[in-house]
Amino acid sequence: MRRWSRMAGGLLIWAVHFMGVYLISSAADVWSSSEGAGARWIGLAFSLGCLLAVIALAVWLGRGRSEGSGAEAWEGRIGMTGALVAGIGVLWQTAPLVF
Amino acid sequence: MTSETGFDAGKYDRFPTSEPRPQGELEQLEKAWCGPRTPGEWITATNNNIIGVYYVGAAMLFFVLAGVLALLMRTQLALPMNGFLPQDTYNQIFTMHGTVMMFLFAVPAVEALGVLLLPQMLGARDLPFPRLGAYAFWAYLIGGLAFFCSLFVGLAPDGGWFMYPPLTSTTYSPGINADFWLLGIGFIEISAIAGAIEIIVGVLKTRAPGMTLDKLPIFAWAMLIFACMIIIAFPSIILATLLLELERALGWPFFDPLKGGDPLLWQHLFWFFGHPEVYIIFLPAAGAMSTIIPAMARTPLVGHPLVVMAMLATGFISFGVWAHHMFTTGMPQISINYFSAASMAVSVPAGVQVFAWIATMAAGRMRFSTPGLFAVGGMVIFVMGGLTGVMVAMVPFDWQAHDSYFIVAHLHYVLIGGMVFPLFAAIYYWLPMSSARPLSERWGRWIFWLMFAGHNITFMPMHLTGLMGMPRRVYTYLPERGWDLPNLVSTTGAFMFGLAVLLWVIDMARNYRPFGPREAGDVHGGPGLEWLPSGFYSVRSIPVVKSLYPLWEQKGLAQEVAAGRYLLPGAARGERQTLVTSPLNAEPQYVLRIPRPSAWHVFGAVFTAGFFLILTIQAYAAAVVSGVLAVYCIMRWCWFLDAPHARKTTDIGAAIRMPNYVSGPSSHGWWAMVIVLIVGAMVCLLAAFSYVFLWSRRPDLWQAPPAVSSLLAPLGLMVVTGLCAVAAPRAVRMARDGSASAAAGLLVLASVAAIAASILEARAWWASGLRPEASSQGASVYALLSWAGTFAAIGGLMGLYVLLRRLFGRLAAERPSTVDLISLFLAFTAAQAIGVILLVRLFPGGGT
Repeated sequence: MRRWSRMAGGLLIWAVHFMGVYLISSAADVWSSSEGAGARWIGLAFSLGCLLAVIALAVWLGRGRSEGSGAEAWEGRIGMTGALVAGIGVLWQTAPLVF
Repeated sequence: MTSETGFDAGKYDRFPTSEPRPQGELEQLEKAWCGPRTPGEWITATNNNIIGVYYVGAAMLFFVLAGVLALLMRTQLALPMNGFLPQDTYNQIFTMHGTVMMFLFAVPAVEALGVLLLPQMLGARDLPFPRLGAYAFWAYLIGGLAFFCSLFVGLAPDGGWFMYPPLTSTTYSPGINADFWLLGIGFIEISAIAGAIEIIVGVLKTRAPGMTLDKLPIFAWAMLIFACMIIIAFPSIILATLLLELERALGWPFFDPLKGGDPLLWQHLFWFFGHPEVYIIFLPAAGAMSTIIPAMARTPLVGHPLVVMAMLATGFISFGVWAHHMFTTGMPQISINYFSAASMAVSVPAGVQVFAWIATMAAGRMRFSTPGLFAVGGMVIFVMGGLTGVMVAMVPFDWQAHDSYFIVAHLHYVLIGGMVFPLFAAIYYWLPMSSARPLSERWGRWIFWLMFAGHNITFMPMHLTGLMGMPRRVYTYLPERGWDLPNLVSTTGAFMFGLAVLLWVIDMARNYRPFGPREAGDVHGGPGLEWLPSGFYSVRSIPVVKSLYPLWEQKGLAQEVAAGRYLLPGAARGERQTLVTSPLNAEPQYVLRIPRPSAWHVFGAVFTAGFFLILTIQAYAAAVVSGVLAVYCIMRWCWFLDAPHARKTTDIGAAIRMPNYVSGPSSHGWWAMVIVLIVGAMVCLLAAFSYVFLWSRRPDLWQAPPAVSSLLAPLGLMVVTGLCAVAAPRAVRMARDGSASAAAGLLVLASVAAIAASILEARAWWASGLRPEASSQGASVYALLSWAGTFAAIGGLMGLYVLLRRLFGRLAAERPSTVDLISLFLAFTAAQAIGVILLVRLFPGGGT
């Protein structure tokens, strides 16, 4: 699982973030309003958590870059690109909360 | 590289071997893998070379049939106030066109391509579950043809391919037309899931040694992601169709607002499947493009890791865009914004792939023969569709264009450019491999240009008719609205497209004629293993892969493979065998004995199809008989699995011996069971979402759950089920006298406890006064309990099966796979049921 996590970890974080912010706003809409400040702050805090998780993943992948060769190095490159995509994706999906 | 299994990768250096091969080895291999000899054997065949061709052929048949429906529609719309088709018939035809194209052509066609190509591409002799693949094909063909024939008796569905309630409720669709769609499509999706299981396990577990993930062909990557997406997305449509059918047949109000239901639930469930479906169709086609373009340009794919990443990203992001079909339904603004953002983001990975293809063409010397033309033509059309896709991702524009012909134009540009043209490129590219004869190049060019021009003449004007206000799904329109000319032009283009398809059908018929030379070989100079010399046994010997482009970079590979100088060069004991490898490094793990053809899977498919189709016409007794026969056939099919082996190991070449049997997470069966359980878990998760969603619509209608005291017995029994299921594999491995009996006893106990728990929980709710037809709470609670109960019932059948195996001496301590897999299923059944019971009892609490 470690090698699968390296490769798909970033995208998994993106997926968790997307579902998370959607569920937070949907739940807020049931109880009060998805436009309220409370829901926005919860969404922002959750987004920050996801962004930190992406950074942690990138650091982990960066440290392991010197290890392994061939297939594992390739998997590391895929994982690092995925983390980059996820970082941008989390920021992009957070934009509706900010603006 | 870290080993996954402890296998010494240094042993790969022993290949190619140099000693002479034994006399008669090739003949024994050919005999073991011989093709059908009687007409009956053509039906019971399981070999991927045969089933793959059947599958592609059936998918293309449905493409032609749905295309004929499109021509009928275009004839009707050629002129204003045209009377060519009555309104009711038009509604049936446009519904069937969309449904057949999406469910019976697009997904099965790419799945079929996988079944046909993957074993050769991966260096395997066949896919790991050939009878499952054949079952999926026959179920699809029988179900699909019966579904299509409903058109000839005026019973075809007429509510659009999306089947939105309340239009499809019994109030507005009182006939059985909608039931044909709900039961037919639900059944066909089960067939698609069976194919997906085959593909995932095939790609992860039956690769040639050395084919690590960086050397995995890009088409196989695409098929792997495609199949994983099916596993996540298709449960949603299965659940949706179940819920709507329950509402129509039994009056359970999931979508009826008067009783707390909500039609928007259907839209969420349908589009959670429906939008990923677009990428499910696109990804394998993109994988084919990423294979064909480098071959035609004679250069490696530029940015290969980025393309893999882009495909993975597409797979993930596609699950975050479903609600962009619902921008006009009044969802909260912030939710709309999330989906709008994701819909724009999903264009980025698609763009990465397009740029990689352009760069590859620029880096090499592109040959514009027919596959090259279709690849480039498809790319151009897809980019145009992608650009309008970004336009409709913008919410204000979508509000204007929604449900207009602009959307019809957009979706056809995406689907035809993203899937149909690449599929034709794939057919022209790979047909010499499959039929050993290329299609006519001269005809191919005519077909391409007719199709390319026909497509643009048909769909380009639809952007305008849409922007001029023409709505979708109308059977006619008034004159003098400016729509006459663009509609006439669109109809002309459609017939041009139809002519191209007709020419292609004629050329295919010429190609498959049963006489004339069949020695095409690698006509395109392709770099993949699928171009190795092959027969029904796939490759003569399974090569050690050292490159992403083995035929370009491993000199002499084709000759050495054909001479049997690599792994598993024969058919030991006359068995059909393939090598099972580890999922990441593709290290050899064991030799899999592949089952020979039998009729049980075909009968199983016939009776399963019969069950669903007879249910549609409400002949319940006959449906039950068909269902029981289906279960019997499937149990007979499974009966011969997990049989003893004459020897414990097989020499796979160069004095390397591999076991013939493994159990647990290393075995292919374990992987398949885990994937089946993921499908079940997805349905349950989405049913739980439906439960919470319906509560959020009308919490005032929800009553308190039964008393907590009634909770203990079902929970306790489910815990017993789980504990017995966990203990059974340990019991069978004790390898003492009676260990197999002990394991069987534990599994029987587990299944009985699961059934008892399900009955007790349903009785507690019934006693509380809640009825499924009374409110959305009743409907959703009983739906969740029915789902968990169905697993318990299947567990009961498994308990009976394991008991029979024990009684007939087919359960042994040295072959624990049967016990492992049934234990896994029952453990999941217990965990799922506990989750369901806790959800319906504890959420939303004491009621309001």
